[in-house]
This record gives sequence, C-alpha cells and structure tokens, in this order.
Amino acid sequence: MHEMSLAMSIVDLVMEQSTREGEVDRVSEVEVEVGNLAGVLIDSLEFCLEAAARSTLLEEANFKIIPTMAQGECPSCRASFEVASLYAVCCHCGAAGVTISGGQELKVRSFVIEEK
Amino acid sequence: MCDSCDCGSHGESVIISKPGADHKHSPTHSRTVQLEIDVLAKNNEIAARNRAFFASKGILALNLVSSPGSGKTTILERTIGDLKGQIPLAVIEGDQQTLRDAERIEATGIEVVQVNTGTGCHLDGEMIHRAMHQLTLEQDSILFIENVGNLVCPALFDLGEAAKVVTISVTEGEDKPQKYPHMFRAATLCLINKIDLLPHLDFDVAACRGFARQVNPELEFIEVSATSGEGMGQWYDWLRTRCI
Ligand SMILES: Nc1nc2c(ncn2[C@@H]2O[C@H](COP(=O)(O)OP(=O)(O)OP(=O)(O)O)[C@@H](O)[C@H]2O)c(=O)[nH]1
Ligand SMILES: [Mg+2]
Ligand SMILES: [Zn+2]
Ligand SMILES: [Zn+2]
Ligand SMILES: [Zn+2]
Repeated sequence: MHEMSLAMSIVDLVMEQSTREGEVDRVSEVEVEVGNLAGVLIDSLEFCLEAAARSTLLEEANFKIIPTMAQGECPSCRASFEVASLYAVCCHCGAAGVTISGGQELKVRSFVIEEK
Repeated sequence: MCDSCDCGSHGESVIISKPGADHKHSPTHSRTVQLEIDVLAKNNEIAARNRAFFASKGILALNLVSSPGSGKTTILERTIGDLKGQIPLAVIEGDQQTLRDAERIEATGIEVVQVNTGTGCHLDGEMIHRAMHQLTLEQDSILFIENVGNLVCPALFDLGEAAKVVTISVTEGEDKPQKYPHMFRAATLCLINKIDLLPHLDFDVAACRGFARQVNPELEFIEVSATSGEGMGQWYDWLRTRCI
C-alpha cells in the first residue's frame, strides 16, 4: 500500500536533510507525527520504514511514531472532543455535522544524528 | 496497533525510546535536528508546479479515481467519442501493469500516455510531470488522468488536478463512501455509473448520496451509464462549465 511510498519519502527526506548537517555517522532516531485521520496504518508504516531504511544512514534508526488525534466540535451543543472518524457524531448529544480539525498530519518532526 | 483494546490513543504506550544520551559506548555525539516537514511536501510542491502549468495553458486537468472496474476507462471512451472535435482532449492512464487501458484510449484516436506504477498503488505528481512531457497539450484542452483503481492512497497524492472525480458503480455497495470517506471528502464530483443495471439490483442511490454528503456536503452527483449513454450529457455540461 501507500505506506511504502510514504516510508521511502520519509527516509529520502531525512537523508537529504542530514547531508546538510556535516559529518554524520548515522541517524539514530526519527520522530514522525501521524494524525489518526491521515489515512495511514501505523503498523504498516513502521514495517515499511524498517524496509526503506535498509542500507542507508537510517538503517539502525529508531522510528518514533507520534499519533495525534483529530478534534471535533459539535454544531449544536458546542462540545469539543477527540474524533476517530470522518463520520463522527457528537459524543454528548449525538448531533451529526461535527466540525473536524487536525488529524491529517503526516510529518517528520525531528531526527537525531550521531556525529563523528 | 493494540490487540486487546480499540482505544484510539493507545499508540503512545507502544513507543520504545532509545534516547541519544544513553549511547554511553558510542564514540559519536548525538544532536537533534528539528524539521517539522510534511512527508508529502515534495509531492505537493511538484503538484503545485503541474497546477501552475495547467493554469497557464487553460488546461482542465481531472483526476479520475474509483475502485477497480467501476468504469473509468469506459466513461472516457464514450466521452472522447462524443466530445472529440469539440474540445481538445488528452489522457494519462495509470495502471500497475499493462498497456491495455492506454490501447483502448488510443483506439479512440486521441493522444494518450500510459504510466505503469509497478507495485505502486497510486499516481504521484512526478509521474504526471513526466507524462506531461510526452504529450502535446493544447491550449484550453481537457486532460483526463485515470488513476490506479484504488480509493485509498490516491486521496493523499495531489497531482495538480483542478478536481478529483470519483466514480462508484451501482454494482458496488452503496456504503462505499463510508468505507472510503477520505476519497469522497476529497472529490468534487461523484459519477454514479452503470445505472443501466439498476433494475436488476437493489442499490439504493439516495442512501449512497446521503453517506457521501455526510463527509462532503458540497459533493456533486451525476448518474450515468457509460454503456447506454444515459446521463452522459449532464457530465459533458459539467465539463464544459469547468472548461472556461
Ligand atoms: N452495464 C454496464 N457495464 C459497464 C458500464 N461501464 C463500464 N462497464 C463495464 O465494467 C467493466 C469495467 O470497466 P472499465 O471501464 O474497464 O473500468 P475501470 O474503472 O477503468 O477499471 P480499472 O482501470 O481496472 O480500475 C467493463 O466490463 C465494462 O464494460 C456501464 O455503464 N454499464
Ligand atoms: Mg481503467
Ligand atoms: Zn453535541
Ligand atoms: Zn498508493
Ligand atoms: Zn517538466
């Protein structure tokens, strides 16, 4: 699935950035933020990251996946709460048409390099 | 993520960290580099360049998505047959393997490029950029991009299109929008295809529209049959109003 191409993008991105950091021995950690509505399976992404990192500076990197949750706001009772799907209804009054924000994040927050 | 419970925020408990400071035996020195870069940033950048190119030539680029077999290529064949000579048209065909769909389009007499993605399950901005170089794209034309039959990742990868057109056929479940909400949210138009088969099925068109509108209140619908031609006129009107 697309987790493989996302994993390759993540590895490429970190490789590209790390070349700007001077004498890098290896990358030991990468922090990736994944929203719960980003359409990404975390297990599958983790698996693909390991495969994509093979024979690169990231080979031994620990990939930290930080899940973030989308927030919903109820159009009728104004409650706000975490939502797990685009079909969320208000968990307080049951109203539909919840306004959803966030949860679509898919980004590399930071990485740790080991310098010689 | 977790075998024993469904709780959505469980992820945090499975993070196994190895902070750099613990590398006592390592002869290296760790340093954290802050990045905050969207993983799709590179694709989005290329897509934005494609979009600017299309805009500069008045080209209407449409990203056609659906599950495998909903009728994208058949819709294109009929559309080309009916609009050829009125509006300049070109097609980019995305499939994992084979030239079959491109050959079907080629037979209609318009220019087509096939992109084979191999094991990849979607087209991306760079593939479209490369395919564009193989086409003589005319001023004020329509470029149809038939994506790989898949409702999951094509929703994530911007190609630079003006709009995504999602096709669902009445031989599929009317709950497709609930199963693939991201795509129905990202689409501008939904073609409900194979309506010639409705008398033989119990597909609930109203329910299907309702499910899709829940995630995308603005979504437009046109019911068509690519084989009988029913409803296709409305689709052509939609294309014409978008063209100018
Ligand atoms: N009855 C009926 N059959 C249709 C219609 N449109 C397409 N089909 C049939 O559906 C099958 C699949 O059509 P395609 O046009 O190849 O579908 P596609 O979406 O391009 O498929 P992929 O490219 O493999 O994802 C073919 O056998 C078509 O003849 C329609 O309006 N009515
Ligand atoms: Mg096809
Ligand atoms: Zn409420
Ligand atoms: Zn894909
Ligand atoms: Zn170019």
